[in-house]
Amino acid sequence: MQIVVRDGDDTNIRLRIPTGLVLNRIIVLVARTVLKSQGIDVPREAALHFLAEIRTYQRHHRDWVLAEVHRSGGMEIIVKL
Amino acid sequence: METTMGNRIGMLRRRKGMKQEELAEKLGVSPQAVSKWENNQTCPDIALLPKLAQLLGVSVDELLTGKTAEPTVRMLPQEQRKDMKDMMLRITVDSVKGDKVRVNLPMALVQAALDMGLQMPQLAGNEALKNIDLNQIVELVRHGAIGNLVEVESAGGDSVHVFVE
Repeated sequence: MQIVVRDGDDTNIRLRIPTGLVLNRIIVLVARTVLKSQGIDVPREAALHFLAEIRTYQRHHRDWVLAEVHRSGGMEIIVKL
Repeated sequence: METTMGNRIGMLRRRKGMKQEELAEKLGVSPQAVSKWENNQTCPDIALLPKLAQLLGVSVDELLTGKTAEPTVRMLPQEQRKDMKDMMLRITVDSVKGDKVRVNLPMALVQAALDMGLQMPQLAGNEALKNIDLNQIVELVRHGAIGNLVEVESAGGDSVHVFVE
């Protein structure tokens, strides 16, 4: 996983996080707990299926850009899985 | 065979049942000028193009290129449809403050999220996204719809586009 933050010419941060640290069963557990606290109950099997789908897609599409944020002030954030 | 702009002007004028003199009068040019355009000897002045296109009942783009604008949403026949796993749902949010957010979600993940019972308002707190029904979007895609399926402009001025390709 890569997170790129660009803020004008001065700041350029590039974080590379091993995908295994982001897409794993512990994260699924944390995500389910957070969603549950907001009143959304996600069955464990469905959450694991979702994780498997993300992993499969990420393996086949290495250049997948999940999200891009362009702030009016010039800051850019790009999240690649 | 590729047509020139002059050919298109002549063809569209005749289709409208107009004479060169009539078109020239409406545009404030001489009939000889129209004749020269249609015979590919000269081109109309760029400032005349919007009015010329309007009089001929086409867009400026169509007049210049001869290509009609593609519809923003298309229904693909069964044999041209892609597998849902190879399709992407792109959500773009342009805020009134000038911020832009682009999210690219593979349709396979959207389907999996729906299986989990997640819906758009739970994924993003944006007011403009509140009434978008992902289930209906997936259903449309299953029936072969692609393109700019949803365009929403909230009262606050934020605009949201949901594009499937």
